Amino acid sequence: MAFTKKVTLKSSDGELFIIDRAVALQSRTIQYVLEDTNPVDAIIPVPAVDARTLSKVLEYCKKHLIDLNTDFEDYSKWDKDFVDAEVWMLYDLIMAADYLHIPPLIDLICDKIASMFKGQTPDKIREIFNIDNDFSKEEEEDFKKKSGWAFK
Amino acid sequence: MKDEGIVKEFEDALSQLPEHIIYCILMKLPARDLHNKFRFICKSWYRTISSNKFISQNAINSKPELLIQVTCSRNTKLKRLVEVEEEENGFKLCEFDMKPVGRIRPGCHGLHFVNAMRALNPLTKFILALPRCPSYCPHEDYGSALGYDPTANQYKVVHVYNATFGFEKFDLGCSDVNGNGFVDHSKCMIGPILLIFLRVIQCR
Repeated sequence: MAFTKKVTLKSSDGELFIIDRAVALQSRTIQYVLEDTNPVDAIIPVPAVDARTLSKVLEYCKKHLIDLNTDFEDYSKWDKDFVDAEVWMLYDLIMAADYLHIPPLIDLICDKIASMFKGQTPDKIREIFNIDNDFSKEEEEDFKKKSGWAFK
Repeated sequence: MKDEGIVKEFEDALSQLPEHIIYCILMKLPARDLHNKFRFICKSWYRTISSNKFISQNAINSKPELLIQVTCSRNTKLKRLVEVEEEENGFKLCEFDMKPVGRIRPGCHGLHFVNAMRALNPLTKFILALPRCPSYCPHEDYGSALGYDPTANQYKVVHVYNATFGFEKFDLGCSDVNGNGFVDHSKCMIGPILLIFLRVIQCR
């Protein structure tokens, strides 16, 4: 039975997490490892993720395990609380989700970060992403006149 | 200064994000913000945001806000548009920045054609005013239609003005086939539509 099988993950700081195989399979990275090597009772190292972040990611994976008893509404509320975290936590989470390849989690956090940009000025956004403005004044005016984008 | 601390933290974290994650974040933003603000952050963002691939992904991924058409008052046929913005608890209604309109007609590709020769994309909420007609038609009493020409990748508006039995054809600005840069075709042409009208008259 695939659902009762356990998988052990090891975080970058050496903590072990024993979880259901079905939970781990939501990470495509781990899915590939399991498919390729099929380690029996072996420990899968997750060198890019620390214990604090990994436990949070696994919390998400457990919640989002397909469960017919939970309806859609339930998830959105839970998701909202889940990403209501410090910016550094979000950063760690998104890097972990990227490394472990969990698309819905990446999606969720991107949504949250995007919502933080509401009302920011362009200069502020450049500051945030550490980008230099390489448009000259004339170029910017010129580009702004072109309205093609509106119609795609 | 608590606020500054948060902003600083925000900047430190986000400036380290890899490019493909930033791409995912940009994809979630409302099209109007991308168009007005994020496009002009730097040239590489401009290229990314203007690409056809990004635009189609953005249309699927960003959360569209509803537009509702409301009648201005009981005595007029004029309607105005109201935007529905989602908030923490519930939603908020905002006035959509457009003069009251008479009728909104569907065009093509989900674009709508609004009174007084304006085209509206309800998803991105961009409005494009068409160029002034060579006929100086006041756009009060007219017939018009919006169509798409796939061979030229152009949107065209045919505008029939009945005072002089003429028609005008406009090409709306749109991106070229490769999505590199934009070509602004806003040509107006005049052509006689007299023959068609004459036939109608003869049928009577």
